[in-house]
Amino acid sequence: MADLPTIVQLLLVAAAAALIAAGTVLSARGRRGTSVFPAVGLGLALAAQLLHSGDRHDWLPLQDNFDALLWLAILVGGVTLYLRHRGTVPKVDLVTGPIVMVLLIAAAVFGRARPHEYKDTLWDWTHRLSTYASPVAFALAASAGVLYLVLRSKLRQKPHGPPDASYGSLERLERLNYTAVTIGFALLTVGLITGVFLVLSRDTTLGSHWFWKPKVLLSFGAYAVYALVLHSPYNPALRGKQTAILSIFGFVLLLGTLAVVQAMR
Amino acid sequence: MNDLLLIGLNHTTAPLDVRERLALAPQRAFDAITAWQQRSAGGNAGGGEVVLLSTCNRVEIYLAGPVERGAVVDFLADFHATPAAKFETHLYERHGRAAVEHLFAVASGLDSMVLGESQILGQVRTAYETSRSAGATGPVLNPLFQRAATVGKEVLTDTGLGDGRVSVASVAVDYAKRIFDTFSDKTVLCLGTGKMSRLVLQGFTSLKTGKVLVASREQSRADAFAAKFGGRDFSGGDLSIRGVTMDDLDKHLIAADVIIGSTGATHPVVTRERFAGLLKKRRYRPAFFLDIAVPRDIEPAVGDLEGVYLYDLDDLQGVVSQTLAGRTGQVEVARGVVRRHVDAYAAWHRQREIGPLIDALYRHSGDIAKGELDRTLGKLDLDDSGREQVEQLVHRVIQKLLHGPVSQLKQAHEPHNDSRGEGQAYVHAVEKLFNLRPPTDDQAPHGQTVSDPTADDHNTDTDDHG
Repeated sequence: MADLPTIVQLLLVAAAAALIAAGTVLSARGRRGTSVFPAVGLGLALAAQLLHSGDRHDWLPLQDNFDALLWLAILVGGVTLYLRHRGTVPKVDLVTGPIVMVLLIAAAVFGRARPHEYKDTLWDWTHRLSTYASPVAFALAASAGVLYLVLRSKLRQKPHGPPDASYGSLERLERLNYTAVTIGFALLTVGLITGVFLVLSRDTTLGSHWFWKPKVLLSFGAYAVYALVLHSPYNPALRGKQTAILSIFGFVLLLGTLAVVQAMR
Repeated sequence: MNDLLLIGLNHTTAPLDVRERLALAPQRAFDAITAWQQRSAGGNAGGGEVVLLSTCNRVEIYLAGPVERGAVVDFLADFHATPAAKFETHLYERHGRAAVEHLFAVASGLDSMVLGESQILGQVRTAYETSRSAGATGPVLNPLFQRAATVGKEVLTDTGLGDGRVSVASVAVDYAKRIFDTFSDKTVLCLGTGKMSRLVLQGFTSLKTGKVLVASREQSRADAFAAKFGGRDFSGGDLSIRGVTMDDLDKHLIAADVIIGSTGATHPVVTRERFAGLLKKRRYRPAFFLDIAVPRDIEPAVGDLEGVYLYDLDDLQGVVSQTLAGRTGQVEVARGVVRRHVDAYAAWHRQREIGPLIDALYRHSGDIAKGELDRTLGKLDLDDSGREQVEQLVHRVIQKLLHGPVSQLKQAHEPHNDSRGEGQAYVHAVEKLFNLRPPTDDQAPHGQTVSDPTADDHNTDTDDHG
């Protein structure tokens, strides 16, 4: 089938994952210039994406799982490179790097699947784009959450002295987390509304008891968790550590949703 | 290099009141250099090149040329209007290689009161620039100070000597920067008006803090302390600083993001119970407590509260001690770098000394060859190709004849060659045998002598004379 990844595309994805891993390891060791590895890795992933689109003669994104997971990996990796380049949180790749690797590996493993059942309608496209874009923001929020907990722990380990500047500050990480959750929440809201509309307006693989399906439950669970995170300015008891933990938990639920989506194919 | 002289005093040889007498601000240093030059022109003393390094911990004068210690002491006494007896016994003196080694160690922070501090490197550069702008540097001090800057930079960046923080205030600021991103919207509350409060506050005001509250039991005392900052932070920007009393402490604790405890109270001023009751009113904002009081102002249990980051004097001094211990471990590495550069500089300097002689030797041989060639070629009927071949033949003969003596000359001037006398004997022999008078340093081209000492000295490369 033309829409399945070829050996060359898989090799490119594997090489991309290896380069991302190398970049993450070097970054963890505090080496300079480690952005080159993930940048080349993302270039290879993009090349695999282009070859895949060319092979199936369809340049529109998100047509199958290989395509969708690859786009997720490229977007998360791209945002990571941007944040590193800006110097906002140079160590963000310690968390996003493994996420990108997991997405690339998932693309290679689950990529051999049939195309999505979406149609070319505005509702379908809105649903597709919003549900796939929101995890990028939530991945970033979860990464900020992990780094927040690491930095908090380091700050409490007094004999070791102040942590290095590449972690940013607690305040910056909290702000990054909140901003990413706000963007992701808006996208997820659109994705859920359009998803409910689609499932009500036509027959889907979810069937008649669609609301009790794991994919839907997990999505709404993540939605509820992120709603709590957004509530933190009004309920300050949730801020700081709690917000970080909730962001990580919400992303885990979203990863569960993605895994269920793969399992359903 | 033997013409190089260093005379100075520092924190190990002179007490503060002596150092104060001789210390010079940059503009005064310029005036002192100018005065030294005028004095030299008047025939009163030495002359030559001079760099004056003056910091709060040292005053050093680097001189190149035939200068006597007495002339320098007299100058310092006259310029500062201070009897020489007040400082002369505190002075140290270094010559030649020892002076070079001392300067490189100073630029590297190895000779500083706080080992590995990097400020001295900037001060060495400033001192050199001041002298250069006064036209007081030349072929000896230009390359020496340029090399010193390189050595200092290499030691501070490539060894661990410059790593970490070495003052309680700087460690505190580093911690604060890991908690907060911006400080213009933050409030710093300083409990107490002691000297330590002032030192730590200096660090925080340099972060362009939004508001500073200084709390004391007496309003007048708090106001007086606040007034000392003069409404300006240490970068010259406006600083909102206000004195408050301890009566409204809860209100100030709610407003504050950074709380510095520095009172002389015998019991904790901020207890866990007190601060826990304020958390909700603070909307659970992070609080950075810095307890530099002994006995402590902040109950240690306050640090267990969520969102509270509490550091006491032991925590901060522990980091400082770790830094200093780490730096001490790097001293030998740093000294190794300094020694390597001193050797390289000495080698370059020796090569530079014999460079003009080798130049003269080749020039002398070239002149003889040219004269003979012109005479002989005029008698022969040769085409251009033939003339060229004969010229090349003569040049090759000169190269081969001089290769041995020049190599021996260079070898005798290698830094690892201890028999400096042998080198000098060769120099005299060559001068005598070939009737050469090499140009002195003063006659040497300026650009050549100030070039980077790390660069190969092309004057000693026989190929360039071929």
